[in-house]
Amino acid sequence: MLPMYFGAAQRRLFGVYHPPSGGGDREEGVVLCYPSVQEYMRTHFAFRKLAGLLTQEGFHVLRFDYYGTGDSAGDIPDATPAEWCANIRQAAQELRDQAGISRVSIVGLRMGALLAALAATSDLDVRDLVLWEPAVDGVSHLHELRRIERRLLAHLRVQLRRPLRTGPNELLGHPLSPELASAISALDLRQRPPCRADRVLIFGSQDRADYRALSTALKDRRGQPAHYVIVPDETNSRANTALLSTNILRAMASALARRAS
Amino acid sequence: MTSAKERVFTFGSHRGLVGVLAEPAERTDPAVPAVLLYNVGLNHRVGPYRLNVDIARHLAAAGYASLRFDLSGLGDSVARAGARSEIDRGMADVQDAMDFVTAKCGISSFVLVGLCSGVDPGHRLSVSDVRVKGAAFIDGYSYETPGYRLRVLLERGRKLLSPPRYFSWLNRRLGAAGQSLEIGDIPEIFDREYPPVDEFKRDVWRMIERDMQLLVINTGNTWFYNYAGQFKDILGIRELPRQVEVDYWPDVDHVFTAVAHRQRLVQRLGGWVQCRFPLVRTEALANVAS
Repeated sequence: MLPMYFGAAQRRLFGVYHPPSGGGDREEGVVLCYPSVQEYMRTHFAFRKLAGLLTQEGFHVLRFDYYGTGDSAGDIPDATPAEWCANIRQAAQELRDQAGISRVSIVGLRMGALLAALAATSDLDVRDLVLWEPAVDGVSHLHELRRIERRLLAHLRVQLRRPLRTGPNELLGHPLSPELASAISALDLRQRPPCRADRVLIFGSQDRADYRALSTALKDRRGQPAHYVIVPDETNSRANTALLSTNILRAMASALARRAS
Repeated sequence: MTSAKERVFTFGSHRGLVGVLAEPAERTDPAVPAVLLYNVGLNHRVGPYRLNVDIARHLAAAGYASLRFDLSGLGDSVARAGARSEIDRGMADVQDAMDFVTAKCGISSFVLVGLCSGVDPGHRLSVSDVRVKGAAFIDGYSYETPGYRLRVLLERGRKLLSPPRYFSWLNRRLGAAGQSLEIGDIPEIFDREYPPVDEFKRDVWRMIERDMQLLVINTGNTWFYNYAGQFKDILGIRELPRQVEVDYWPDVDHVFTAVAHRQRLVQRLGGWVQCRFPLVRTEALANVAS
């Protein structure tokens, strides 16, 4: 495992490169794209675990923090979804350079899936595109995060015996300017050109109508619709759906390995 | 104000610890302590809502180096072999971090910042390792006092004497208990063991005797803490020693969810470090040299 910084001096990104660990080397890479900053902390460990499963399958793996998040440079108020999509392209190139490989797949979770798909439907060429519990569009994603925030604030109100005062431009503890909210709201996967990917896979823990619709709307480079794979969450906990489930991590790693072998 | 120069390293006796060294862009002064920031609960080193990154960059802009790192087995750090207790592993990790910063920057004195479970290794090392010159303990150890118990009784009494308020409180409690959990409200999944109160008092006096600087901040979520003067009552004193500063922030939650609360903490910590460990200005050094 090699933690590192990469990219332009003033906008450096933090990443962790994981070389193959299982004895084999597929000469293929996988870039892991975290969800939005509001969900980043709770998914970090799952990403480390997924990286480990993929390296055991012989993949080179890079997980990285978007600009303004984690250990990367900058702050959220200076970031845009367009820059985060550019970060995914940068990370894919960094993995190619670091590992000396040409074929790279992407796995993105929630908003990371949305951003990865946007990059792959514009100019990012990938082997497989794996959308893990994807946010289908920015409006409903922000709506869901606001719903979670209301529950969190209600919970904290009980604990503190008074309301927690948050600012008007915050969401789940992070700054969210009207400009950034507007830019995220404009993101939508439902009407996009075909992905520049050999295969598009959607992984979810429940049968969802919006994912079924997305799987027919989103096409790979040959015009084939996305595969929708349902992996029930073994923890049976709504709290951590997909986030702490090991089954879905194993399912994604083996799906990528089956394709690569 | 200068910006931070950040580099990532792997270090430690098992080469398995990962940390980001943040230094002032211009010069790191080896005469002032470096600040060590590490995990809060199971969060990785960036801290809840990126708190540790904000603290590190604020300190670097003020002229102080810091290392934010993952304890073994957490975040990006590799677990240590051996069957030591969690607290012993944490102490070994923090000591490895001190050794690393000394080798890298020539700094041999340290300020530890511990929040919640992060206080456990920090407290023990503050007693035993003379390199620790200061510590900020946030939601650390607290103990019931007569003043605490009185306030708990008064709070219960207010609820009983005000039926609408009582039912509102009861509904909120039942409502909270009946809801399924979401990402934002998952309870802690680990437990902590506090040292007995007499041991805690002895430890604090030992820190004070060796002139260690101490900043204690308790939020509205601190267990067994509900009034501003409680820390003094725990120690059984009327005035705090000059080495110790204590804040009580009842409007703030345990992980500083509100942006303004994080800014308040970053400013408070930064101001405390600058006041207790002032930089020797480059110009002043030049004057001395000439």
